[in-house]
Amino acid sequence: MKRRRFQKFVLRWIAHFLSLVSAKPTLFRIEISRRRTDSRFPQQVLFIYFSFHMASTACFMIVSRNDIPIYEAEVGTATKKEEAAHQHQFILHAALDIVQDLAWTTSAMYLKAIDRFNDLVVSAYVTAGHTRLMLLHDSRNDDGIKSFFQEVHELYIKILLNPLYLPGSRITSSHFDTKVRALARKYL
Amino acid sequence: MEVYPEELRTPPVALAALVGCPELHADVTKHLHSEQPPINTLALPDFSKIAVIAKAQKGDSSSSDQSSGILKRDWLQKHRTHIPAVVAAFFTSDQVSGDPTQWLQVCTDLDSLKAVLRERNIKLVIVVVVSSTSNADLSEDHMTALKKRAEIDSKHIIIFALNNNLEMKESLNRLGSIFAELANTYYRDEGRKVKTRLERKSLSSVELSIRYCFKVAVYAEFRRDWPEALRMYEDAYQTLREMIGTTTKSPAIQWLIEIKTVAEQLHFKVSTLLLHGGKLTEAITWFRQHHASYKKLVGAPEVSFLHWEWLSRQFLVFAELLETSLSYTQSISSPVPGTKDRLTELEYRSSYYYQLAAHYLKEKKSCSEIALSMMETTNKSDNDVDSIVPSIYIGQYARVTEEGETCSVKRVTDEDYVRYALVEEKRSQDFSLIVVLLKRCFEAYNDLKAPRMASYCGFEMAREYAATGEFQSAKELLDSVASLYRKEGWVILLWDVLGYLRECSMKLGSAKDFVEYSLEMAALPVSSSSGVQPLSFNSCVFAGPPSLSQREMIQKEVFKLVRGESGEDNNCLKITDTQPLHLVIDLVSPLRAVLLASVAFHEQLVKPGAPTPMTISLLSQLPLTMEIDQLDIQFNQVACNFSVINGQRSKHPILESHPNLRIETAPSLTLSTNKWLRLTYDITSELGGKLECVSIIARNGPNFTICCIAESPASMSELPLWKFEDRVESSPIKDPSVSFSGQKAIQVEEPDPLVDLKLGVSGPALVGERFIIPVTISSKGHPVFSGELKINLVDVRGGGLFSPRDVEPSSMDNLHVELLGVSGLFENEDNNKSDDNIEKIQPTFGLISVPVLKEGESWTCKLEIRWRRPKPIMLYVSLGYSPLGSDNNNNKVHVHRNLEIEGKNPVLISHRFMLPFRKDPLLLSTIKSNPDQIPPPTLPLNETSILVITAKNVTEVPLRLLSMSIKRDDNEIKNDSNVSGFTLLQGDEFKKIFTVIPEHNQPKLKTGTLHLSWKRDATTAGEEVVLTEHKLPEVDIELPPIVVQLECPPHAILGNHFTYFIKIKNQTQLLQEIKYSLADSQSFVLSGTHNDILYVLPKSEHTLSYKLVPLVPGFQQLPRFTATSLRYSAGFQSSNTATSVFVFPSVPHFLKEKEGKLGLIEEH
Repeated sequence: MKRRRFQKFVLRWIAHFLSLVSAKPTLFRIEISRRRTDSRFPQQVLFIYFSFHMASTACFMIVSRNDIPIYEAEVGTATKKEEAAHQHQFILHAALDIVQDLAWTTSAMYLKAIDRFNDLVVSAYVTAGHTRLMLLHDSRNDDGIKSFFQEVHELYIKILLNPLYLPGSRITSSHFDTKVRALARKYL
Repeated sequence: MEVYPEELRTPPVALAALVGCPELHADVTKHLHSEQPPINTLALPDFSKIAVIAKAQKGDSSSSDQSSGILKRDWLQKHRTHIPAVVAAFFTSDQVSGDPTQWLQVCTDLDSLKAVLRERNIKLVIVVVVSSTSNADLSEDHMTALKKRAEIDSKHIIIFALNNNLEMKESLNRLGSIFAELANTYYRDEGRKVKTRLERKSLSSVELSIRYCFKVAVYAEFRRDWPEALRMYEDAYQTLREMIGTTTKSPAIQWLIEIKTVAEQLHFKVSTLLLHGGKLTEAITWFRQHHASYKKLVGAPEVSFLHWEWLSRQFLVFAELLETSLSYTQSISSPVPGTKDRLTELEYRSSYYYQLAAHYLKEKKSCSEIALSMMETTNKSDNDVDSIVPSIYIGQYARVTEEGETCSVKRVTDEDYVRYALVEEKRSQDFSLIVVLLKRCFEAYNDLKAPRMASYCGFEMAREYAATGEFQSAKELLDSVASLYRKEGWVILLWDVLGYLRECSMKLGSAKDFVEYSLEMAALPVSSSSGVQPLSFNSCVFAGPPSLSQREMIQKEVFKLVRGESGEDNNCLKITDTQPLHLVIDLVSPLRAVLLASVAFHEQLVKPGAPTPMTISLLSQLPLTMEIDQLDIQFNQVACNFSVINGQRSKHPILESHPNLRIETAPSLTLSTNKWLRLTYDITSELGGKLECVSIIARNGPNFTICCIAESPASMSELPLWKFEDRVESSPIKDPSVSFSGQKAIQVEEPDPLVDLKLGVSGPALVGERFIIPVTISSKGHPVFSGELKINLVDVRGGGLFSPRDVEPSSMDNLHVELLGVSGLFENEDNNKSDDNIEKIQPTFGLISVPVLKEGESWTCKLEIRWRRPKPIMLYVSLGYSPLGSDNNNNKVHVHRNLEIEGKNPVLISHRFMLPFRKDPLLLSTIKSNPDQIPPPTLPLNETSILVITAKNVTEVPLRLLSMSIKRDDNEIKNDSNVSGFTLLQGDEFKKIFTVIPEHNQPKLKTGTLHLSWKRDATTAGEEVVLTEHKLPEVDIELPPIVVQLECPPHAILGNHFTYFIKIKNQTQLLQEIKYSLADSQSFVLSGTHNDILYVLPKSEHTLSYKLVPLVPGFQQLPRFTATSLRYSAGFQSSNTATSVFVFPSVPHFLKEKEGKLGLIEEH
């Protein structure tokens, strides 16, 4: 019993260490299973599953009608990881091709999931002015995403109403940023 | 797909064995193969070979082995190639019906065969071959005996006749159908047998149930029962999936590997069956589930690469399957809408799976690299892994140890297995596979017109190339990718791509590219202030995080390099005297953000030699301030080039070869971020024409120059990437008007001409004459070299109507005004230069060359212009010459003169036809004619008519008339008159009377043309005689039927009577009835009939005579005579002028004198 408790402690410590290294506690999930299976292998067998667990990562971008990104945010609880962020941008950029094809086939603004990369899904929302709101996410919360898009669209319209904002230019309003992040927390 | 053995990839085919009569085997094999469905054959020449089918003797270990694996590696192979469903034993009829020894042989053969077959439940068919040569007849007894011996149904004994082709074919067909039937039965029985075992649920382990499911499915496949096969495969797959969570076995690593390998095979079978069944959407959904359920099962970290490899293989194989199935289904069913987890359109494309396969393969590569490096640190010898081979179970590995003669097989431990896997891994060639996969989807996306996806693949591909050192290929790919990101303004992505490009060009030793990419990166609008670089797991990130600090770092690095200040560490890149670096930034270069040069002249026109201010504005978006040593400003006129050197740098200016280059010193040449550096200098151009700033060369260090093509602020486009950034925008020049309209070019005026051009014209031009315009060129300070005189005639009202296009230009009559030529050329010039002289005269344009004139000289020529119609025109004369004598066209000086000249008709000619006094012919056409239109004048035939021509001078020029004549159309002069010396002043009229007697009765008779010759009545002699033509109108000639003539004396005297005759002449052949009346007049006493009707005989004349005594002096109207021709209903009334007469109160003096001479007053 004592020995088992010690092992438990060691495993927890390893998990803690790994989480420190990764700077992203949710990045690794350590699964520990102990089973007595074979008499020849009395020790406990450890399965450590390294799995990329991006459950809460989402990348949100607004792309202007000229295909220029005017707003980008890594929303969600995950801390920022540059390499992953760039890959997200690459994926979103590539998904523009699909949006381009799909946008003309439907009158709805919300295009739902349009692309899938690994476990990541790209959802898109095309406004009447052909500004595209794109979200890279892995959750399956379709209604939440729709509401998120609709509310961000409203925010975007408010930005457009600003006479000092030049349509098509980068959105630098911190208020907008805060609101978008709040919405992301609420819906995603 | 090639990773799988052949038996797995193709659907299983039933197997039949042939024993005996080897000469027939070829035919039978061929026939069975062509059956539908085909049957494979195993041909055994004689019965001794039958042992290959026999069941292997299982040792004692078989029971314990049962649960040690899931699927046996060779099971499927065995059933496809070794264990037949049917065995056909061939006997000749001779053997059956021959002597007893032969029969005995048949019996023993059959017995041994039966013994083998019974174990496996294989069906038996006996074929008795009856050849045509054999004479033995096959009795019923023989057949019965054979049947009994073989213990088979009677229909399974076939008589194979070889007599002729037809019979043989029939026998083959029969054989084929029996084989198919028996094979079907065999596989169904086998399947059922296994299935009952499965359903008994008393299996000792899950592995067995999976194995049985697999077997049932395979047997179903043999029977071509696809739905059953699919169901069983799915069952096996599900069972296997459940097993992962519930059971664990040692060794753990290998256990997971085995499960995954089996799952892979089952999945492959399921997808193949689904796709072949045309269920595309189901197959894709199935694959997605497969992927979802296994992707998390990474396994132990040291062999995690095996998982990624496995996952990648799943995608690759599925992509290949999808591709082959799409190639024959051709249509992609659209994604089913509405479902929550619907498939995207992309998932129907194989390229999507290729891309993910490549992605996982990359993952595997990075994992295996780590694992390999870890192995090297442990540094164990890997000799013992050579003996590890795949064991008899799928996904298991075993060690073969040789102990003397016998080989024993033992399972390996996980530790050994990991080592084995790593050693195997060393030999793999992931790189080439990744590139192949990526290239495939790169091309596929390009075909789909999805450039952005293709770019992403291209980027990934380039990363692979870069990682393996193929920098050239990487660079080419990245360049194309970068252009897309640049165009669409995805700065972060561009940053990454440029980072790779920078690294590639450094590795390739291309300093120019390195500097270009680095500068572009440094000038990107990246400003995320989170300068903390987080942990990066991928060592391939060259660019670093996109941040301001990184940009600053890059800029510092580059400027160190270009200044030659970098240490030895910066590998092969060197910028030296021998290899200077020269960058060109044109209007579309992405480097415009690095250095943008705008040049504006403050004025638009400048006199030569006069200074004009010019502002050079430089802008840079580099994060750090950039210091420039020297600026070279270059113009299209080389003489204007100048350099600006930085006053803060104590170094000597880098002088060009030009010794007299203008050098300015600026207090500082420092470019801060997003802040215009404005420098204003005066420029003086000595030459006329356009002065344009071409480029600005910034020198930084001795060997680095940036050549910036100059841009005009008015037409400058914005920086594409910075356009939408949040930054302070300022104009390049402080003066807003200049910054909006400033141009980089200025027009330098010509020097003032010092040559006078005079057009000596007085008065208007007259139509018809050759009008002379003297042009005088007199030099007043400039010598004239290669002078050219251009003459243009332009309609004053605009629209050069001189030669209408719709009329052929050759007909000169259409030209109203024409330049005839230039006279007086080269009168005082020797003729040796005439070759060079240009003389080009066209009706409205002339170009003549002017001889060389020295200062003070003058030259005259005369332009000759003729007007055909009165019209005012504008004459433009321009002289172009070069005062310097060089042939340079830019330095020509131009003098322009213009003059409006009015062309006028000299005389106004009018005409009038008149009949003799008091003689009136009845002209019927004038009566009938419509009063609305003016009829052409009608003249009576054979009567004398009078034509009065009036010529009136309508110009202010006095004219001298020379002659006036009428010419008939046959050029015969009808009537000529010399009026020489008659001078017409302004407004004067000249009248001339011609008599006309028409002789032919003909309508529309041409009268002819009036020719009037005249000349200017100038003091100068030698004026040209001009002939003006005037066309006289056509007249109608008519024979009047009746002519009324009044006759009375020219005047009367009060109280003295006179006679008044009225003669009515009938010119017709008819009797004319004339009703006439004579009104009374107060001034006269009259005798004679007042009213009457009279008859005038044909061709005769009737005369009425009245005697009148005038009562009142002065102008008096004679009694009015009115006559009416009843035949023509035409009346005649004498006109007032014709019937007035002057009555003298007494005999006037001149009559008295006359009377004195004659003695009497004659009475008429």
